[in-house]
Amino acid sequence: MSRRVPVISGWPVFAQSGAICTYGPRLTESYRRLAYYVDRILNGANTADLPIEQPTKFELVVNLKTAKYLGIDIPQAVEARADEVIE
Amino acid sequence: MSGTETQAPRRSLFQKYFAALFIAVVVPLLANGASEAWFGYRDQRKTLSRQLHTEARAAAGKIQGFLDDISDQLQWTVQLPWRDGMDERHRFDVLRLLRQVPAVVEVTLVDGNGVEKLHVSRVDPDVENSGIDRSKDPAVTGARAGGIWYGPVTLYQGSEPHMTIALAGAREINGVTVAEINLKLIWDVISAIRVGRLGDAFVLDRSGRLVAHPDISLVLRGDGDPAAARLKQLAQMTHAGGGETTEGANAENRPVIAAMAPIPGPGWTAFVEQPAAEALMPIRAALLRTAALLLAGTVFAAVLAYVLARRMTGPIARLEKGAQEIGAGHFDQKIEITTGDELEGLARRFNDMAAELALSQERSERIARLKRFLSPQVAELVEDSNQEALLDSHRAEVVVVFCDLRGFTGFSGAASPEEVMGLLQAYYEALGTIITRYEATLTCFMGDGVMLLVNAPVPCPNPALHAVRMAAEMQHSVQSLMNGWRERGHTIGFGVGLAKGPATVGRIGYEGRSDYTAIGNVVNLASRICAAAEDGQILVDAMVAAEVGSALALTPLGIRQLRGFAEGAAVFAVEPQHRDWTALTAAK
Repeated sequence: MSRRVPVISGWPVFAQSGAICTYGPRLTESYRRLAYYVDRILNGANTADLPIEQPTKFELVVNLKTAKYLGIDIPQAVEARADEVIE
Repeated sequence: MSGTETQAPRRSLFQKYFAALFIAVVVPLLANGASEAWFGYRDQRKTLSRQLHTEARAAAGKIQGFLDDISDQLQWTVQLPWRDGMDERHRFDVLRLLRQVPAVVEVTLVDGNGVEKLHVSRVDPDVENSGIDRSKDPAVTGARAGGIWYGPVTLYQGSEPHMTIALAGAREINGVTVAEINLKLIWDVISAIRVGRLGDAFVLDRSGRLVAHPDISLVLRGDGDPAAARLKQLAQMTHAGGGETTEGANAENRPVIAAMAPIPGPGWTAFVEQPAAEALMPIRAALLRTAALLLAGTVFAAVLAYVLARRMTGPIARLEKGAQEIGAGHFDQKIEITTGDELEGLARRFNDMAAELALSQERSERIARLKRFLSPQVAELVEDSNQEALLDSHRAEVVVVFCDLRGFTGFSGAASPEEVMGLLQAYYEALGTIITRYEATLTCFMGDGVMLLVNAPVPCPNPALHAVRMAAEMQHSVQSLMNGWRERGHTIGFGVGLAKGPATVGRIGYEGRSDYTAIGNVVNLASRICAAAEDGQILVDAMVAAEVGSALALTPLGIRQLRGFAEGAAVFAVEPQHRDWTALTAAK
């Protein structure tokens, strides 16, 4: 931030702490599925039988505060797509 | 009659009644129960089938609803025509779509000429105006032909079930939207469907691949999974069943009942399955209830039959026992039956009969007792007229007749006992016939002597003459007997003495062993006169002689000195000509 370098990441927490925007899987969703897998394995399921699940929900978080601070214009198309906008 | 002979038929009667009553109750009960169970089972199965089909249609509707929601949202992207300067508007539509519909993974917009204009993906970078010609793409042609086109289900990267939906605009210039849908999101819909408490739903596509299942791992594992294969088999069975509910095994290889309903849009089929145990529980409960009722009914019938059969045969057994007792002479036995029906009437008849028998037996016993001293005719007369008071002791004018054998003591000393007994037998038989005929009262036997009473207890007209005639007949009878004995060298004679006078007569003795006798001077007189009589003689006292009068020829023998009679007594002899006694009795 101090070097005025815009940061882009995959994890929403980065945007919350100043990255200009992040786009990646919604982690809460993944953790919920994780709990399901843990439950299955603890109940004796054969791990080889458990399929790999790919994320289905993605999150676009835009930090308008950072953009303003850095003097970057966020296009309307991006703002419209954002799941969360930090102002 | 032995015990076993009486037992066997009774048991069989009981068994017959028991079996008849039991069958009469149980057979209709069983028939009713069985038919009710059968029809109840059929109705329940029909209800279950209807219910499962409703559930299947509801599940199909929900899946169709999920797809319709997506196509509704896709509709927005084909509202506007592809004209210059509209690209940005289209781009916004797509971005909104991605925001609104999480199941859409990527969207490709194709313009009216079939040229790809825009490709937006959640995971890949956007591509604008790639210029690829998609006019021959089956999605584009399919959508143009039918308005909406559902692609086959594919496994993206080997595990994610994806499907393409293409939607054409109302006008050709509006182009076609081709959207890739991640079918994993149907999970929210499918896992919300519950059939009963444990049943659930799943969806297969046209080729039988598992599209949606509450256990998402089954879907993600793709083909070749044994659980998915089992579901495919279940689906085939349901198809083969022609829309009827089918019993089979589910993914976990547990028995289930399944029904299906088509999802018309993509040509899929929704299945609902319910564990057989749960689905059939009401049926099983109903059957169990029926069985329990039948069992209870059978037990009740058995108890009822037992009680009724007992009621029926119990009194009969008592009757039989009572009849046996009566047969054994126990007339005081009462048969106690209080069933209030014909059997009670029968028991009453039995009791009445026993009482009658008891009376009649008592009467015959009394007559037998009377016959000990009375002739049978007199005994029955006394009994019938119930004049036992006649036997009470009282004073009466009687004719006492004594008779005995002469020289019997000497004979019995010389002869053999058999001869003595034979003689006495013949002698008493001869006397007895005459005594009975003359209705004289026998008071006692004294060895070879007999004491008789006439005019007591039953009075008779002209007792003295009657007695003399009887004595004459006795003489005649005994004399003709003795002719035979005399020829054999025995010196035996027979004498008779009669006396008339007042005496006290009555029954003496104790219960069951009583005799009739007379006490008075006249008895002694007759005895002495008899002792004085010689063989073949009939001696009478003055009273008898006076009463007989001129009816018979009597020879006065003057005053005889008799023992116990200080002054002696006048004695008369009845002596017919040539000892022809029959002439005396003919006038009787």
